[in-house]
Amino acid sequence: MPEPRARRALGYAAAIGLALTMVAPFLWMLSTALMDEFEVYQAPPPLLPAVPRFANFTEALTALPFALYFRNSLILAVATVTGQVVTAAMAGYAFARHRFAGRTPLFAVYLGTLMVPGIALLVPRFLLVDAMGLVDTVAGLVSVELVAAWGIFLMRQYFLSLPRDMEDAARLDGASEWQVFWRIAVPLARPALATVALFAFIDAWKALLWPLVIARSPDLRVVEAGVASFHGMYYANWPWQMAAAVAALVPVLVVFLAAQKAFLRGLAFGGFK
Amino acid sequence: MTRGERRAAALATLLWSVATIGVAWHALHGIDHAARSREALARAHALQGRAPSPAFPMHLDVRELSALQQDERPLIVHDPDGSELVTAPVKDADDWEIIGAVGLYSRWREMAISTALPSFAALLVAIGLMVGVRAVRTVGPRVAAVGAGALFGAAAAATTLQLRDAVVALAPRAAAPPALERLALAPPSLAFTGLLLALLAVSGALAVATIHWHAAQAERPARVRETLGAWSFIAPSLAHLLVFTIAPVGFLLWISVHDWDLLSSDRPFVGLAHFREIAHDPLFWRALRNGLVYALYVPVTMVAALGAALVLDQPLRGIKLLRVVVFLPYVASTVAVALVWQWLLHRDFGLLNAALATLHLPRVDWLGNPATALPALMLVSAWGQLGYMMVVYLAGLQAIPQSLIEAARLDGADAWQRFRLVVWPMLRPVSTYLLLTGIIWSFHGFTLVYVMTEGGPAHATDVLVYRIYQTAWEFRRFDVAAAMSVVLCGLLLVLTALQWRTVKGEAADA
Repeated sequence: MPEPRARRALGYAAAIGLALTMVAPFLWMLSTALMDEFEVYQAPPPLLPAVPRFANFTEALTALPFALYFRNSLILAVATVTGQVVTAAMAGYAFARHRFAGRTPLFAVYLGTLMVPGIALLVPRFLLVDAMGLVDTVAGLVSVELVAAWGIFLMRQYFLSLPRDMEDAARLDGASEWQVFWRIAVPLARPALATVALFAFIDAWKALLWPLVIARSPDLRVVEAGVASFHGMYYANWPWQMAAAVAALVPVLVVFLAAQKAFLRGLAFGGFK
Repeated sequence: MTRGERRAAALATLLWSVATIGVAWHALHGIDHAARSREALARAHALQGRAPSPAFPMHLDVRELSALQQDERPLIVHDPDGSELVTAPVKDADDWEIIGAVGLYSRWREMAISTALPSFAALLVAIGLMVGVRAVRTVGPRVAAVGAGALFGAAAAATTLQLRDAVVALAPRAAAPPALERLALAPPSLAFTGLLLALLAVSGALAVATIHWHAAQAERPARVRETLGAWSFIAPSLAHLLVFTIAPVGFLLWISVHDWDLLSSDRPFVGLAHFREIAHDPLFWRALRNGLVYALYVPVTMVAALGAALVLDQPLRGIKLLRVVVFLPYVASTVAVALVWQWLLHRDFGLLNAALATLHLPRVDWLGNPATALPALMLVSAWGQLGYMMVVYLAGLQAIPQSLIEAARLDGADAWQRFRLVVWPMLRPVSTYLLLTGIIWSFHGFTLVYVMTEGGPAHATDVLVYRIYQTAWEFRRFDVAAAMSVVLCGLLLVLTALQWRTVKGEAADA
């Protein structure tokens, strides 16, 4: 059957071409990161370095204190992930499982906060954090994204989809509400928690605007802000810039590739994100 | 309701009312003095050089009168019958000698009393509870009452202390003649005081509601237990939302109609002046227009994403890996993406121009030319978002029942007809959702502009977020930036409302 085979080949070609288009800038980034400083200034540009120069990475990452920036980004990411996962699990569970006074208006309030674009709150949030004396501190850096309403909704939907039998059984056995939540509900909700954690991590790692305005001293810069200012300082040295960019990419790509199933689950829930 | 419970509730209400009255009293004391001294100064200034010799208030005692004749600052003086007078000196035409004074009577007590009226009512209720008047027996168990009392007590203590400090700073009582207070011109923050009063009012109302509710639920202890449990699960996120989302919304609106100068603590109400300012700012309109043009990348990318989804929907081996690869740009660090694209679009050494050169096409200064800079950013955004939109479309495609497509095929529909008549209508909701979400997100885009163009060249890529950032953190005009944020917020709220109507199906079971 020649016809399906031709179609199949065409399909493969289209799919691979598409994937190449998407991945080419990354490959070019990596290739440039391994070139000599002056090698890149050729017309036509070489596609691959003559001799891979791995020293670019060590040089670029020590030209500015990137170790510090990575530490700051890691603190921000860990705090954001912890805060969002814990609060999303607790509030999502309460909304899904309890019938309590004030639930409907409270839920409406949570829904309402989803409508407010975070970007519009940049100025008042900054002045508020400033009034608390938290500008230029780690606490100020991590403060605003510790809770994400969309994560609470995701957890609520997930808990609603779980059967309640085990929780009721545990209650009959005399477990307290906290024990039911911690011992029964949370372990069952692990896939959804992974989704919340993954999105929180990626958002925190990619965040630039808030870290930029909240950090006055260079010591509090996150990786994104560090790479951005590196770009301004070593404007002409493209291999160094690409090396810094690769370094900024690696953590988030590793996390994504390790947990892409959780990621796709989150996108399926996209209605609220 | 037992006697003890009634007493506890009464005590809580009493504490709350006293605290609120105290707050209002102290706050208005300070605010009124400052406002009045400003007014007295303005009147004195108007009189200066025109009045041959305005009288000093002669009924004051000698010590106060001599202070009035020497001090160039506004003063609070007490006349013999106890009324307070805020005075400002009037100088001669040469601005040299103090020749008189303008005095204004303070009315802060009256203002404070009228402000504190609700608290007086609460005070009456408390007394009524204590004496046991049947009509005011708001039923309320001990726990709620004691808890509310503690809350009020703490809030009241904090606010009263805070305000006392403010008022003391305003008028140092240590000044030598005890009846004489020198005024500093900075009033305690009206907004802060207002906030505290509002806090007290809200906490009072909440406590009353709690007491009522608790009493009404007395027969159903299980529900009380469940409610307390659920609220304790929700409290952490609610506290954060209140502080970092709900309060900032009100604060944003407040800033946008006041002057916010970092150097001065004076924040007068200016109405819509900042909105008028941005309405007359061509750069604001430029940024708005740029944002709308920039958002056009969304529908373009959607078409490409639908194509990509159709390509990747085939049952081919290894297709899952390719799907992941297509998705990479969406999760990648945006600064890294911005850098590599700046390098790809480089005028002299960029790969894109090199490719154009081999085709004997002229080089383009992609990011340096006002005509191409915004389209170049749109291209990068399209590349970055394609994977996400593709995945959503893929999910949409896979949700279409194969039987529908088979039926169309049996009816003799060709591939294009099957797509147009079966697939596309099924994807319509997904498309609307993607379009609105995409446009909303396009207005959040900051990193690409910040790293690649800084709004340039010649403001060709200046978008609203970047203008807000610059206005606030480079020009230090937080008030104007707040006004812009309000406009942006309004715009996005409309889009969000539209978006929610399209996902109502999903939200309906929420």
